[in-house]
Amino acid sequence: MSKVSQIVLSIPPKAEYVSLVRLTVSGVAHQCGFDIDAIEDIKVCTSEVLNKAIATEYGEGSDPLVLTFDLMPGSIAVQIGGNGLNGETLFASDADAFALAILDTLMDKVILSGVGSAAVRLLKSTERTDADG
Amino acid sequence: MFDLSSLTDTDTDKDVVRIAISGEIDLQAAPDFKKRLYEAVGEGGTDVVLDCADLSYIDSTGLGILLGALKRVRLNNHHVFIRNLKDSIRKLFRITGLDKAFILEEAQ
Repeated sequence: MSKVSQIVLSIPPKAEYVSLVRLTVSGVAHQCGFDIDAIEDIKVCTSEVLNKAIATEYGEGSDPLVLTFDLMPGSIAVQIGGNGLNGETLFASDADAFALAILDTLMDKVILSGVGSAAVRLLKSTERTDADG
Repeated sequence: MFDLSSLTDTDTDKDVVRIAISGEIDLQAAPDFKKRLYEAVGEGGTDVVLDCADLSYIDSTGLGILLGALKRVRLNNHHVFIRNLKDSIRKLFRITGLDKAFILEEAQ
């Protein structure tokens, strides 16, 4: 894989589909060259975003959540949007402290934006492993 | 999918509730996990030992449920011991500071 490949996954905003996303993340992160620990980190963080997006019930609750995976050699970007998801307000409550701590520690960069196809953007590279200590 | 089994050990000086958790604790499993864990812990009148040898995944929702169970137990001046955590899950306890709230024991 020498350039960006893109995979798009659309799921109903329901808890039963989060495990399907975790399986997908395993496959695509492996393609980028991540080791098993880093793959687990990306799975955990993607799930945390989806959990909150589903529990918060943005939009009408029936429009799909769309995940876009940009795959590059040694790095991955996971963009999550759809169903009215707003990254700026997604983790605004005190109860979200655990989830935010997990995202900030396990990913290299977390970008929370307003409503759009990339309301949340998670970035990770194979070169940084200091969160694994 | 997850499973939870529990028993009250009355053989030692003080009663201990031993709970084995296996599988994946995620948003889908959370309501049932919360119900069964709180049933097993009861009013929190004993120490609790959670054996997580076969727990493969837990998210922040599940960690929050564990914290709720801990609060019940701590109100009665008892403790929650967690055994056999996988490294990937132990890392989540460390990140969230829960390694200071629970008593994490090394793998046996």
